[in-house]
Amino acid sequence: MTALNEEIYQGIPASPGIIIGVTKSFARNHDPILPDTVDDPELEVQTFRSAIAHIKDALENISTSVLQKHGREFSRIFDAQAMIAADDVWNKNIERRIMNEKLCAEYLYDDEARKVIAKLEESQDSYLKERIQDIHAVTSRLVAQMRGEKHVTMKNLKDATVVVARYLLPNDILAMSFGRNLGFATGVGGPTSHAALMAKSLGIPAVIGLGDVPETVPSGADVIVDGYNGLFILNPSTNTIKKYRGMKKAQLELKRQLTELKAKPAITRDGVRIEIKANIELPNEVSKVLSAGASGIGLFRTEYLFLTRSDFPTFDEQYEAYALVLRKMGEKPVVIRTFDMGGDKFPGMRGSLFESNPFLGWRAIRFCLDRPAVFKVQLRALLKASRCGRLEILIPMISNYEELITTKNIIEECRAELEAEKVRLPKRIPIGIMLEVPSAVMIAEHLAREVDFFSIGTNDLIQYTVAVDRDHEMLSRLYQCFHPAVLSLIKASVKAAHRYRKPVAVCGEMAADPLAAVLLVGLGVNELSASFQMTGILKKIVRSITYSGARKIAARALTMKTHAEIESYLKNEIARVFPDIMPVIQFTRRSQEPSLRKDQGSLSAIEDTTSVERSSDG
Amino acid sequence: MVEREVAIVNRLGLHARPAAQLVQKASKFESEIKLKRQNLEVNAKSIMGVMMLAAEMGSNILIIAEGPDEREAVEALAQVVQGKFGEE
Repeated sequence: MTALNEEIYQGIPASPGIIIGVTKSFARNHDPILPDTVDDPELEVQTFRSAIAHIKDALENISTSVLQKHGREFSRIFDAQAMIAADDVWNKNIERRIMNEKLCAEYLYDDEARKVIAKLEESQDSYLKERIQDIHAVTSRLVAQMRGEKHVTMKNLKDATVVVARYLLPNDILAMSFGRNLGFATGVGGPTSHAALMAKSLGIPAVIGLGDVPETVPSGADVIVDGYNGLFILNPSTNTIKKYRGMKKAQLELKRQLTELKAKPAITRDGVRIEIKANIELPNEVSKVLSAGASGIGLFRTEYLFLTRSDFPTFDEQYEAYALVLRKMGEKPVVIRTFDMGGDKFPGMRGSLFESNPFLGWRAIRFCLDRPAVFKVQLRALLKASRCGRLEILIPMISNYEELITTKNIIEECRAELEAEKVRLPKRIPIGIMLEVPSAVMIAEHLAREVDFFSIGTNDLIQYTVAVDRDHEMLSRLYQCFHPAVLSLIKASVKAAHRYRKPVAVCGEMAADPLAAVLLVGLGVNELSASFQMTGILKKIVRSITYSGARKIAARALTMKTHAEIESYLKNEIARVFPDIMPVIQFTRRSQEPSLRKDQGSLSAIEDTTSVERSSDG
Repeated sequence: MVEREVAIVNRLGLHARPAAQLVQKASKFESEIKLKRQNLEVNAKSIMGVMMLAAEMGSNILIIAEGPDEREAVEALAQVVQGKFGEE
């Protein structure tokens, strides 16, 4: 056996953690159809059979409905395709090849189809030549179906697997989330893309923004994913593996320390209480939130309700989901955000709508106010569920005063309707808004009077302030969380809210950055909400600092001119003033310069972190 | 085993749509049925195979059947081919 050279790639750390394992390539439809080997050819044959049966049914159904709507001339196309799919002689041959060659069905199908296509291309008969399209259509359906079914079998991934792909969608990750000891590495995506948020939420270590690398890595390669430093290490050397084993051990040690903080509140050394809450994507994360010791749920995103369906979730489905979370959280507050759909979150959901700029488009509250029937189902489900715990309703994407007032009126309408139906509701259900559009921050004084709390969505606020698409590969450098404009907006939000004695939360990714957390506390933010993995870390940070010290740091940062200047100031000043939290920062903070590097230099990042192990051992 | 060579009288040759009829007809028989043209031999019950055959040049095809209903099979398929594939 020849030892392969270690290759280190620097990506963006999307979700913390370390996986030492082997790769599993996740091919997408438009990816080339490669002769991937299959471990279990019998299973592959079964999957192939059910895929074919499914395709045949689908094509027959299409044919029937096309016949009714457009006549036989068009339906015939689908009949021809259904017949190709139903070619038993042909399919038996594919099955034989799967068993003999142990290769994936879609590759073999394509391989055989190419032979026919080559023949048809020689033909003089244009009608016959057109059948090439039919064969392509069936092949691509098969690829989609096979890969779709493999999504499901991803559930059974063995231990220590790193899924490599150009990109992953939230539903891909959802399908994989049952695997233990799973990580992923993708080519595209920024640190706050929905896939990254979901990985974080599910505790799956992830590195993204690796360019072409993940696509070119075959299944079965030895790999390490370092979700702390954003490193993707192919064919790691024995030394590197040893280092990472050490790092995993140190990670466990820190975890142990953080466990001790679970039952303790987050109070600064000079006695200021900061609420540390958790964001969730799925109701089943509640138990993790509770065991992490969060004082509530700061953001329950409700978009997941759409992930596995193409229509709107019903009142009952929604009520069940909301009530479940509220009941489980008991006395602890739960902030549920109304649908924040649109943008990158619902690909294909409204296929008929074309938006050249979806982030500036018909999304979130804009959609809801235009579709009051849909919105009211959600609001009624929320209000009814409010009897099960301490609900707070959060409205996303408010950009002007009227939207807030209209929304409040609709909520009142829903309340009146429910009460008319003799549903008894709590007297007061707090209503807050997301501050994520700069125009809302600029009129925060007006808005503060009308709401019970603000929640700053830093991901979108930064994106809209600096005009940078947060998922843009080329621009992640310009997506600056410490941009002085961002700091000023946060400061202004806090000032307006506190004037009316309303609390301010930060529920974006920024709350999960230890340096930023200190800054946010210093800016007067009352509550930090991040993924549950961050709960212990944030508590440790708050308990290690003083409010007065953080205020000074923030005041100074507000006078600075650039992101870089502020970031380096925070690094140095926090290390100087609050040395206790440096190990935590080293372990959790992402490196800020994503660039593709192959050199050994990036190993220094690992050495920095392994030193934590030594200090925590002592 | 029964064999018969038939000439294709269809102006357009053995093309895909009629090929489908041929496959449907062939599938009704228990016998194994092969179609042969030049050097290419395909299973008459496979649309992919028959399309491949259709693309081959040549005016004759050989129908070969083997099984309990081989005689009827060859007869029926010869009729489909010679009956202009029931041009629509």
